[in-house]
Amino acid sequence: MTISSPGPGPGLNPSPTEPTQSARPAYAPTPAPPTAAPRFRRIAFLGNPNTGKTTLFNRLTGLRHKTSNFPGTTLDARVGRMNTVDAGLLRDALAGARGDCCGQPDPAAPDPGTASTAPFSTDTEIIDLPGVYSLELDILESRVAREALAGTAASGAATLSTIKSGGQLGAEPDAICVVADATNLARNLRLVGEALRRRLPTVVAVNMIDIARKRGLRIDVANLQASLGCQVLLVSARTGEGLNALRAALLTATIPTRTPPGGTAGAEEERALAAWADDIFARCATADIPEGASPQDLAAAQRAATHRARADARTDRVDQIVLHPLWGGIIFGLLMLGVFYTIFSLATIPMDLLDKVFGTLAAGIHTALGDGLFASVLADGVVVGIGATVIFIPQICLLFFLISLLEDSGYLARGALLTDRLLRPFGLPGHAFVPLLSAHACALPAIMSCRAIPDPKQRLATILVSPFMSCSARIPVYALLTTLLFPGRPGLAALAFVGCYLLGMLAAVLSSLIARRTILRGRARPLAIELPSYKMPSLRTALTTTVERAFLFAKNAGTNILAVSLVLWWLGAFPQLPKPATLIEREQVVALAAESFDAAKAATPTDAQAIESAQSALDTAGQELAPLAAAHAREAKSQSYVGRLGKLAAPIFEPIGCDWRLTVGVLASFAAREVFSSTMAVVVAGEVADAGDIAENAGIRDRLATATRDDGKTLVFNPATNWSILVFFVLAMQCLPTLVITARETGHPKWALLQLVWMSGLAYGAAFAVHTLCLALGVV
Amino acid sequence: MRTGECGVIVEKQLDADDRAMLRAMGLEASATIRVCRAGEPCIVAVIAGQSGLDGGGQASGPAAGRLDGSCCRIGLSRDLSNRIVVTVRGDPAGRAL
Repeated sequence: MTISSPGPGPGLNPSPTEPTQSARPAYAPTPAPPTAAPRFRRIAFLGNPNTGKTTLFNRLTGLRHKTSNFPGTTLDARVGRMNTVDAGLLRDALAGARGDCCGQPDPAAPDPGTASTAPFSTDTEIIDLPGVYSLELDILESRVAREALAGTAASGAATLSTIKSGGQLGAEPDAICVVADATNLARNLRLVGEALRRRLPTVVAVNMIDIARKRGLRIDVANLQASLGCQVLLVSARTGEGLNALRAALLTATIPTRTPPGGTAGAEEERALAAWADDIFARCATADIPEGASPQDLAAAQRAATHRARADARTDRVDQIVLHPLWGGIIFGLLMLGVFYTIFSLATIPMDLLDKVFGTLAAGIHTALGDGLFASVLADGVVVGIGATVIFIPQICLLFFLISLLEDSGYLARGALLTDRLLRPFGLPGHAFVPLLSAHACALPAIMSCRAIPDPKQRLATILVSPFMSCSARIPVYALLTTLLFPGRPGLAALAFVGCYLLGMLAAVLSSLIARRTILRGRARPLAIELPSYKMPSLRTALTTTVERAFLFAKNAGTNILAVSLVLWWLGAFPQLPKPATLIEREQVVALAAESFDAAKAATPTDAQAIESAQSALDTAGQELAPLAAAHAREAKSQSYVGRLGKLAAPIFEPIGCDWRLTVGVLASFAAREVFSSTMAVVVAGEVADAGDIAENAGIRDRLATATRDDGKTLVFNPATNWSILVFFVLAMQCLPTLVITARETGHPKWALLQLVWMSGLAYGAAFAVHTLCLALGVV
Repeated sequence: MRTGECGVIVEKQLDADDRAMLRAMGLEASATIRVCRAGEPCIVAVIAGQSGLDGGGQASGPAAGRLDGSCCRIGLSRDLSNRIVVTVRGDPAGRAL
C-alpha cells in the first residue's frame, strides 16, 4: 500500500501504480528486506540550497527551535521540536508503513491501534543541515552535513534536550528527510540517492509542488516511492499543503528498500548515481502533454505550458535588466540605499525610544535609591549595560528582515553576481556587499550577516574589514571635529565628512587585499550561484528569521556586552571622589530652593509673584551649583582609573597630537566611540553633556575650541590634532561589542584580537603621518 | 556563446574542486544548457532530459526542450564561464561560455 499524494490538481497522478518490471533498468539492486520503524528522537533535514528546506523547517517547528553553530564552524545549526501531529494521520501513516513501498507487509512496524485521533505533541527534534548539492564535495557545508549524518560531529552544537541536560551531540540522526525541489527534481534526486545510501529511515519531501503544478509538472508519486524505496510526500512549505501528512510520515519513516548505485566518491560512481537519478526522473515525472488525454487535461496541460513559457521569458527579461551593467547597478544602488536608509534612519525611532526608556529607568533607580554605590551599580552599570545590548536590536531586526525579503524574492543572488566583479579584485565576494553597506549603520548586524558568504576565507575577510566602514557611532565624532576644523564653513566640513567615509572604504578594501595575500591566502571560490525564480517573498519567513537573529544576538552578545559595560563603568566611576563641602552645601541650597518653589505653587497657586520669586531663587541656586558640579565631574573623571590611565598613556598618544585630556577621550572611546564627545565635554569644557547637547550648544563647542593645554598656550583642539584625531577615529577599532561579535562569528578570539591590533595600528600610523605632515606644512 | 543559444557541455577546463561543484549543481559534461545571459555575469539554464534542439540548432521558445517543466538557472562569474566549452549544432569546434 502506498501513501496517497495530497492535493488534486491538473497534472498530478495520485493513483497508486506499481512500477513496471520491464521498465526497471539492469543496474537496479535487489530490494533490501523491510525493517521496523523505530521511535525517532532526531530527524535530519537534508537538501540542495533553494529547496525551501529552512522554510519547511520553520513550518514544522514554529518558533520552537534554537540556533547555534555546527562544531568548529559558524554555520547555523538549527534544532527545533516538531509541533503537534494529527493522531489520525499518524495512524494512517503507520498503517501505510506496515506495508513497505513495494507492497510487502512489514510485520515489525508498530500497530497504530484504535486510539483517539486527537493531536499529540512529540519530542522529536529536527536538525536543519546546511544546504548542499552533494555530500561528497570537499567544501565546509558538505563536510558538516556528512559528519552530522554519520554522527561524527564533535561536541558543540546540541539538541534542545542535550542543551538542557548539558550533554553533547555526536549521535547519528534516527532518520533523514530529504527536501527536494519539485521544479528541479532531476538534480535533487542525486542527493536523495546519496541519502538513501546512508541506510537510515528516510522520507523524501518534494517541496514547491504548487509551483511545479503551475508549470505543468506531473509526478507519479507511487512510482517514485517504489523506485526510491521510501515514502515520498508532495508538499508546499509556502501554502502548507501536505505538511500534516509529512509530520506523520516523518515519525513512521522506514529504512529504504532500495539502494542506489555507487557508494564511494569517484567519477564512475557519480556517473552511475546521475544515470540512476535521471532514469527515475524520466519514469516518474514529466511535463509532456499526455497522449490520449481528455480535453480538460489537454487544456490544463497547454495552459501550464504557456505559463511555463511566459514565466521563463519574464525571468529572462527581468534578469536582463537587473544584471545590466548600468541599469542593474542603478537598481542595486537604489535598493541598497533603501536598506541603508531604513537601518540608519528608521531604526533610530525605536533606538531613541529604547534610549529614553533605559535612561528613565536609570534615573528612576537613582531617584528611588539615591546616589549610593548599589544604585550606581544598578543604574550606571547593569541598566546601562543591558541598554547597550538592547539598543542594537532594532537595527539587527530591520537589517535581517530586509535581507530575508530580498533573498526570498530571488533578487539577492542576482545582486551578489552583480557586485562580484567589483569586489573580486580585493579578495571579497559579491555576497560581501550587503554586510559592507550595512556596516555603515552598525558593524554588529553587518558581521552577523556575513554568515551568508559561502567561502570561509572570504567570510572571514569580510568580517575583519567591516568595522572600517564609518558607522553611525562615528558621526558625532566626525561632526565635532569637522566643525572645529572648519568653523562657519559647512561646505568644507561636509567635504571632510565625505572624505572620512571614503577613507574607511579604501582602508577596508586594501586591508582585505593584504589579508587575502597573507594570512587568508588561498584561491577564492569562483562564483557559481543558483538563481532562484523570482517570487513574492514570504513575510512569515522574514519574521521568523528576524526573531531568530535577534534572539541569537541577545543570547550570544548580550552577556558579553553587559560584562564589558560593567567593567567600563567601574573603571570610570572608581575611585570615587568625595564631594567637597562647598558642593554639598550648594546642593542643599538648591534642594531647599526647589522645596520652596513646590510649596509656593501648592500654597498660593494664583500668586504669580510668589511663584516667580521662588522660581528665580531656584534658578540662581542652580546657576551657582552648575560650575561647582562640572568642576567636581571633571576632577572625578581625571582621578578615575580611566583618567589615571589617560595620564599614564599620554606619552604614547602625544606623537599624534593628543594631550592627556584627549588621551582620556580616546581611551574611553575604545569601549564605544560615541562617548568621545561627552568625555571631551566633561574633561575639557567642564560640562556634563552628551553629543546632542554639544551639537546644539555653541557654548560648549566654543569652550572646546578655545580650551588650552597645560602650557596655557597650545589649543587642545588645534588643527593638526583635529586632522590626526579625525583620521584616527576613521580607522581605529573602538567598539567592544563589535569585537565580541567578531570573536563569536569567527569562532575564535584571535581574529577579534587581530582586528583590534590591525585597525589600531593602522589608525595610529595614519594619525601620526597626518600629524607630522600637518606640522611640516605649518598647519597648527 | 550568445544569449538564447543552446548547446551541450563537452569540457570544463577547471580544477577538480570547481568541476565537482559544477557537476553537483547540474553543469556536467554532456548536459544541455541554454544561455540566458551571455557575458559577465553569465547565466545558463540547465535543460534536463533530452537535448531539445530543433532542426536549426536553436531553442524553440524560451523553455524549449524542457520536457520536465523544471527551471534551474545558474549564474557564473567570468573566470568560470570562460573555462566551460560548449558545442552548438553546426559548430563542432566548441566555444567557451
